[in-house]
Amino acid sequence: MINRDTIVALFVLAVTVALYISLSAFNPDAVVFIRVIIFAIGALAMLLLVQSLLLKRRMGWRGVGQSSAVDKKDTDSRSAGFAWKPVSIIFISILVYFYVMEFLGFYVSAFFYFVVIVFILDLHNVTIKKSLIKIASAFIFTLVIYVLFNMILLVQTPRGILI
Amino acid sequence: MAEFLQYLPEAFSITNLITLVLGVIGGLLLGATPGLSPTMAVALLVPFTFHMEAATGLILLGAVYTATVAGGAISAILIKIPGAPANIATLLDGYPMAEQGKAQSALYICFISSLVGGIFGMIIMIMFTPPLARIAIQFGAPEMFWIAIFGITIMAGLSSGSIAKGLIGGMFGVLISTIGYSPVLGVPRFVFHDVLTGGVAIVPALIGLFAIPQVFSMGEKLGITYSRPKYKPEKGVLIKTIIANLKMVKALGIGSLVGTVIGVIPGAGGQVAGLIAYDQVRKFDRNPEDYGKGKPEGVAVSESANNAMVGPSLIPLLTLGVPGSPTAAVLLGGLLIHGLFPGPDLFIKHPDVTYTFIGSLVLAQIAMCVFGILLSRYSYLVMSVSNLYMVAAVTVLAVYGTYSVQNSFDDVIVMFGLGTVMYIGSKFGFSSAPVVLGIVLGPIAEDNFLKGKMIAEASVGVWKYFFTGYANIIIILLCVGSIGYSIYGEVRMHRRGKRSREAMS
Repeated sequence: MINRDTIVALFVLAVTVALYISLSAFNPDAVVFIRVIIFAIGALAMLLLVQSLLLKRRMGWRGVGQSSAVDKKDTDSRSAGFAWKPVSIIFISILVYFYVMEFLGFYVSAFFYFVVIVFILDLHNVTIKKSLIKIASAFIFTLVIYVLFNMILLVQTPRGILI
Repeated sequence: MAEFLQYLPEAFSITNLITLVLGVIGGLLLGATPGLSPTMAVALLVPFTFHMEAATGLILLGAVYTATVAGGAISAILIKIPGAPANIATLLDGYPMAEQGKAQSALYICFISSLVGGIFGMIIMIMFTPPLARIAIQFGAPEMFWIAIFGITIMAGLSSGSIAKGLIGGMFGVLISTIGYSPVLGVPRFVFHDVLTGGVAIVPALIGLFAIPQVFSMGEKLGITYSRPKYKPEKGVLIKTIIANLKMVKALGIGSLVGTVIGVIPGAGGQVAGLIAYDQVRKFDRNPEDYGKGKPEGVAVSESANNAMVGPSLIPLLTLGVPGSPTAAVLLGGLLIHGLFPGPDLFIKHPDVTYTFIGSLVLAQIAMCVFGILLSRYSYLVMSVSNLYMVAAVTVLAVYGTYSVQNSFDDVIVMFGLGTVMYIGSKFGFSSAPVVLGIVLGPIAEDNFLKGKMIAEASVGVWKYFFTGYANIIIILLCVGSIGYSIYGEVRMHRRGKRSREAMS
C-alpha cells in the first residue's frame, strides 16, 4: 500500500514542476526569488519522498495522519478520519451563503445561513422547542452583530436588496 | 525603562482601559470555549482593530492574547479539554482536582499563578526588548533575509509533525505572498484571476487559514458531548486559595522562570513551557508520585509557565519582526494593518504605540486575574455552547472580518479558498502556522533578497554578501540548528511511538 506521505510528496513535486513551467510566462527578472523558493519546495518534496520510501520503512515510521491499529477503530465510522457528510454540508452552505449575500445583504443572509446550518447539521434532533431555540439564537446573533457592526463600529458590510 | 514609564499613562486612558477590560473578558470566554484556539480568536479580532487607533487596537489584541491563554485552563480543568495547547499540562492535575470537588480552588490557583508568571514574563520583556532592538537595528538586507528564513524554519519545525511538511507549508506561504505585482518591476505574477490582482492580503489569509479549517473541524465533531464534574462555587475559598497559592514559591518560581526562557525561544510555545515546567517541579518535589492526582502545585506551575511565556514570546516579534508563535504572527498582522512594521526601528518610529502596548499587557495580566476569578463561577455556561452554533457564528465573523478590511468580496473568496485548501492539507499532516508565517515573512524575505542581490552584484558578489559576516553566519547557524533540532524531535517522537507500539503488541 502506498504511504500517504509518498502521495503528498509526489503531488507537491507535480505542483512544483507545473509552477516552474508557468514561470516562463512572466518577466524573468520578476521571478528570481520565486524560482529559488520553487527549487526549495522541490528539494523538500524530494526529501519527503525519500523519507517516506526509505527511512520510514526501515525504522517502522508511519506517515503523519496515517491510521494505526488504535486510531483505526475511531476513524472507521468516519471514513478514515474524514467526516465527509457534515464537512460537505458546511462547504456547500457557505458557497450558497456567499451567493445569497450579494442579493440579500450581509445581515439577512447571515441570519438564514445560521438557521440553515444549525438545522441541517442537527436534523436528527428536531423538536418544536429546539427549533424555536435555534431560530431565536440565529435572530439574537444577527441582532448583536447588526448593532455592533452597523450602529457602533459603523463598518460597511456587503449590501443587497435588504441589509 | 524610562521610556516605558513615560508612555505608561497612555494605557490608563478611559478608551484604552475599556478596550482592555472588554478584550480580557472576551478572551477569557473565547479561551474557555472548546474548539476556539487563541490564535483563531485573535485572528478574527484583527479586522475589528482596523477602525481603532493603532494603540487601542493593539491593546485589544494583546488583552485577548493574554486572556485566552489563561481562559483555556477553564475547559482543561472542568472538562479535561485544554482550551489552548498551552493548557495541556494544566489538565494533568486540574481535572483530578475538579473530580475531587476542588474545581473552584483549581480555577483560582490557575488565575493567581497566571498573574504571577505573567507579570514576571512582562518584567523580563520590558528589560530586554529595547536593548535587543538596538542591536537588531544594525542589521542590513542579508541579515533581515536570513531572519525571515529563520522565522519560517522555527515555526515549520514546531507546529507540524514532520519538518519536511512544515517547511513545504512555510515555502508555499512565501509563494502565496508573491502573488500580485512584483515589488521591484511592478509586473504581475501568478494573477490567474481578477480576484488575485491585489495579491493575497494578510488578514484574509490569517482568517482563512485559522478559522475555516476550524469550522470544518468543528463540523466533524458535532456528535461529541463533554462529561463534566460537578462544580458548585462556595464562599470563603478565594482567601484560603490565595494564601495557599502564594506559599507555592517553588512551583511559581520554576514555572515563571521556565516559561520566560521558553517564551524567548521563537516557536517553542506555551505547551512546551507548561510541560517542561511541570516536569521540573515534579522532579524537585519530595512526593513526585502525587502529581497527576490533583496536586495544586501542578496547576500552579503549568499556569505560571504558560503565562510567563506571553511577554517574552513577543520579544522576537518586536525586535526582529519574526513572530515567536502563531498568535504572535497574527499580532504581526494587527501591527501591519495599522502601518506599523515590527522590527528594530519600531521603538524609534512609534515609541508611543509600542510602549503603550507593552504597558497594557502588564495591565491585561492583572485584569485577567481579577475577571478570571469573577467569571470562573459562571464558566461552566461557556462550555455549554454547542459546536453547532460555533460553526455558524465563526463563519459569519470570518466573512465580516475579511470583508471589512478592504470592503472587498474578492478577499472573502480568497479567504474561503485558502481555508478550504488548508483544511484538506491538514488531513495530510500540514498545519496552518508555517503557511501563515510564510505569507507574513515572504515579502520581508523577497525585498531583502532582491535588495541584497542588487548590492552584492555591484560589490562583493552574492555568495560573499549573503554568507559571510558574523551576524549572517550566526543566523544561518540558527536556521540549521532549528531544522536540526526539529529533525531530532521528529526522530525521537517516532522512536517513542514505535517503542510504545511494540510494547502494546
